[in-house]
Amino acid sequence: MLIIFLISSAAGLFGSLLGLGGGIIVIPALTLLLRIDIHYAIGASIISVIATSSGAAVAYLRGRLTNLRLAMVLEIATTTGAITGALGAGHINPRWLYILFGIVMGYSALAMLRKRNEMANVLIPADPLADKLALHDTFYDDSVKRPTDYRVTRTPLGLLLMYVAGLASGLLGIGSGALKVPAMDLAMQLPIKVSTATSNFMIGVTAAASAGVYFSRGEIHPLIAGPVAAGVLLGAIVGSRYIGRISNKQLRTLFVAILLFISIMMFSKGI
Amino acid sequence: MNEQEESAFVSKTATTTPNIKKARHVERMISNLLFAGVIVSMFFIVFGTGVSFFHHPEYTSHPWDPGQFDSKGNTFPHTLRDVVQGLFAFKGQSFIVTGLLILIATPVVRVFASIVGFIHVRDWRYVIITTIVLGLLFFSFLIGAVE
Repeated sequence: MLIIFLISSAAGLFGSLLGLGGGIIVIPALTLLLRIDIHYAIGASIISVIATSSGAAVAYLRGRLTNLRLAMVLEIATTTGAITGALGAGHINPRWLYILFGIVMGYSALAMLRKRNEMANVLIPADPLADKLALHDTFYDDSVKRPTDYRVTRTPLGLLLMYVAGLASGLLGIGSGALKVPAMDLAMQLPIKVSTATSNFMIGVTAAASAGVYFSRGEIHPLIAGPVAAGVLLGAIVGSRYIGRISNKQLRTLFVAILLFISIMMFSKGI
Repeated sequence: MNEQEESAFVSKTATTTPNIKKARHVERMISNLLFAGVIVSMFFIVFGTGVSFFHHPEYTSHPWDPGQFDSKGNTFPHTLRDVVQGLFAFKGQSFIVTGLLILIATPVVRVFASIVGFIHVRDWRYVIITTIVLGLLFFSFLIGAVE
């Protein structure tokens, strides 16, 4: 149980920083290392997603890293995609999907890596929809110790990508943080910290909807999910306080490394 | 960010309209509510784990025997009735599950609180958007429950 707690703390720490749910760490650790039934591992990973999201949300809301309006607008697309995906699951061969999304993630990782030396104030194309929905905002960047303004762009493309991210998570049962962050970063040109914090908010909301189902199916085992929740919460609370201090470049590099790893895993699942 | 920096930051960004100031206030409240939820949930989980170990000291020696967690042997509480009964019987696992259920509820409460917040600042467009999100969440929950 102590092992679960420690691994989960690490999962929460990284998950909160990167806007991912921690399932990527929790599921293999529980199934391969501790030989726990895959159903309980998945149940625990859903809990891990929520714990990451809620544990980090406190700090992210205070630093105004989460763009609440943007999260709500995009959540409509993601949830619709997830519902479509859940209904379509079983009709499509998941092997091709794993290969497809593996390639998409690999490409996103490289594109995000290329962006790392870019200055923050590049010219951002105008977006009437973002203006209309008042999505532009300011956040407090602790690494430079001042409020930073940012503008949101290409909202329609962002919505489409969020729909696809939801579709992928519905079809494959994967968390979609790894697709959400690149969509916000590459298409919508958001600062990386805002992207991860907003993704962090969204994955928690989506996971809560499915958690009820897992619970009633009896797939959330208290003695497994309990230590996972406690560990992830602790990790996320610590991680979300730390995010301000690390630079955008460091965060981006860390995200790219993990994303490449996930894309290779997805790809190898398909072949 | 400490309190002083934060208030300086808020006054710098929120000088335009009282509505934005109100919105900051709402965000503050949501964040406090979340924090309370997280702490209470953690308390239940830790307390429940303690009680479980107290009742079953054998868990410490070989707790991860895979057979114990076989999907057929559903002996732990996973319906609301089991949980409530377990709480009265002072069962550790029921306390853990209570903590987990509080945790699962936090994001939903957050969406609810956002709706209240948007009503508070009379941002009707976002009241509608957020309500749609909540509706979709319930819809996906229902789909999952039927399957």
